[in-house]
Amino acid sequence: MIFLFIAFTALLLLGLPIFLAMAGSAMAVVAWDGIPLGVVAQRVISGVQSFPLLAVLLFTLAGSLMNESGISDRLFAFTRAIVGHIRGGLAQTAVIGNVFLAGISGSSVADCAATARVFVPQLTRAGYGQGFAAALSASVATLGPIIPPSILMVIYAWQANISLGDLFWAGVIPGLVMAVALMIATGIVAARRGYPKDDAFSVARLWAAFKHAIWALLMPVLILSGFRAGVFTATEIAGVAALYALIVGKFIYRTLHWSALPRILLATAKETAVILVIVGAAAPFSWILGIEEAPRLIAEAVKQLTSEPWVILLLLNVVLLILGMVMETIAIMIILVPILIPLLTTFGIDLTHFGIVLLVNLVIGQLTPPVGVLLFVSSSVSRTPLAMLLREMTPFLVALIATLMMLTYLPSLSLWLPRALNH
Amino acid sequence: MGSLGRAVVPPARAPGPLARALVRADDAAAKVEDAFLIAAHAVIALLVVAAVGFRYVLHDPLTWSQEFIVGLFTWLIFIGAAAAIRSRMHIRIDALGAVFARPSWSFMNWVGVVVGTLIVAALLWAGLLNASDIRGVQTPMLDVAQVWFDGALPVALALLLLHIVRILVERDAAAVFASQLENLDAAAGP
Repeated sequence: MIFLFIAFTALLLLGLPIFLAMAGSAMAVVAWDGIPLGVVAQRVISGVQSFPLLAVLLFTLAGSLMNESGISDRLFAFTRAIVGHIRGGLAQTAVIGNVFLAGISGSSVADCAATARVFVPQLTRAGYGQGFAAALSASVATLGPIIPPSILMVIYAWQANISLGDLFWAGVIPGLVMAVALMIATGIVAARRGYPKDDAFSVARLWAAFKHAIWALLMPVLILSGFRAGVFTATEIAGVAALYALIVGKFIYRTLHWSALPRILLATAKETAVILVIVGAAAPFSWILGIEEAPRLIAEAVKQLTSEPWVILLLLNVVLLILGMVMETIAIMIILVPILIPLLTTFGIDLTHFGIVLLVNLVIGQLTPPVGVLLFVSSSVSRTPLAMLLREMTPFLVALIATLMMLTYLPSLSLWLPRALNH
Repeated sequence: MGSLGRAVVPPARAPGPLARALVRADDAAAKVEDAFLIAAHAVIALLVVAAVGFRYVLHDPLTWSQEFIVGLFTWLIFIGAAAAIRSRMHIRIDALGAVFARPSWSFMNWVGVVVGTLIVAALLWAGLLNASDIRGVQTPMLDVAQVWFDGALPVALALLLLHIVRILVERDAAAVFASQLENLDAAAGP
């Protein structure tokens, strides 16, 4: 096990893509142990031959089709009509807008790019600091993987063998709590700096914006209703969501053109492949950890340290936050979840609750240097120097870490909704 | 995936005659990859939606569709992974990118490429061994040779090797595994 992790770390530090680092380290161990190399290939292939994982491809497609239809602009106009009139209203629009955007796209990177593209120029023109605008765009994008649909949730539910529908519903309240925390942080900064507000609230403007956004707003309702019905698989719901996005973009909003479809299909195929090839490469990696009984050894070692679930959760939060600073989200999830599940089960920690805690940790990791993908996306899209952006991150990180602690120690925030709907 | 120490991707350089042939071959492979990915994705999406209609509306499920879709999905993932190296979409952690950008450490980029290429070649070999092992194995629903599904891995890895060599010839070692998030100005791939 130690050799596996040393080899993996060395290959990562050499700058290899994560899937090659995983496959390479697994092959080194397999070759060392005299196991036929064909086993590694067989594990990599069977690691991706899964019908539930198709939901990743189709939810990504649905999100891309919606984005291509200019949906983010409609959602932002709608949310501006709701909160634009309060102090720092344009910044609050970015927060609420991302709640709705998260209900469509499921990818924090896509949400961050859309938010930074739309909001950083507008906020800067309205007198907000550019660093603040870019930091806000990165921070609000963390709602993407928490509010359903979520690509990370699809992968976690598949790994942990839990209901994806339950996990999707479990993300709703935590996502809203995160949004409120980000609104509070934004509100405090806006009040201190005297950031502007829009004209007074107008019902007519809200109604007009609502009518423009209604079809987009219905997409998360469609997805969650599909899970609520309990008869459709996640992949089928994702397929129908993609069809819905196509119909809305092409025939209702009329902003999606047939000529754009090949580009969208190609981009989403590659985006999905980049994620799922890591899932495939992780299969022999996890198989070796299983053979060497790593999950059991770790569970026993932790049991000797403590028998209190709240201490375990605290330790996991610390470890995940540190890992999130230095490793990529998918890699952390794919390596750690198979190892952690026996530990969590031993201590009676609900896997759906832990899924939400894990995802919140991972999205905070996307905001922390040196490896914080949302920092780079926001910085690059908005052409804001990283140092300027980083100086403005503190209030958002404080808000998100406070939310993480709430979600960790108040499991009902995650579990109440799925349990209420199942009874 | 980037880090605060960003690697610098050098611009493309003018290729010689042999390199031009390689570039042409790689361009042809890239066109086939892209066409396949578009078609496979469209077929998968259509079949999933059609299967929903047949199952819930017509009450006549397409029993063969799930296995076919998973097989096509396998190809999409591996061919997509090969194509993604051209678009610099693969996720890596370039924690030492800034260090490797220094002249005295630039040889480490070559070490990375050599090691990475060896891993791809070894995995390709493993994929061929697996294909040989599963000769005669038929899929349960479609009753076709399993190797039609599992062959995706070695085919994709062969394409990946071609793309790696092309990037190496056209740019240099630092560009091979670079991510578009590390240096947007140089992100336009080959």
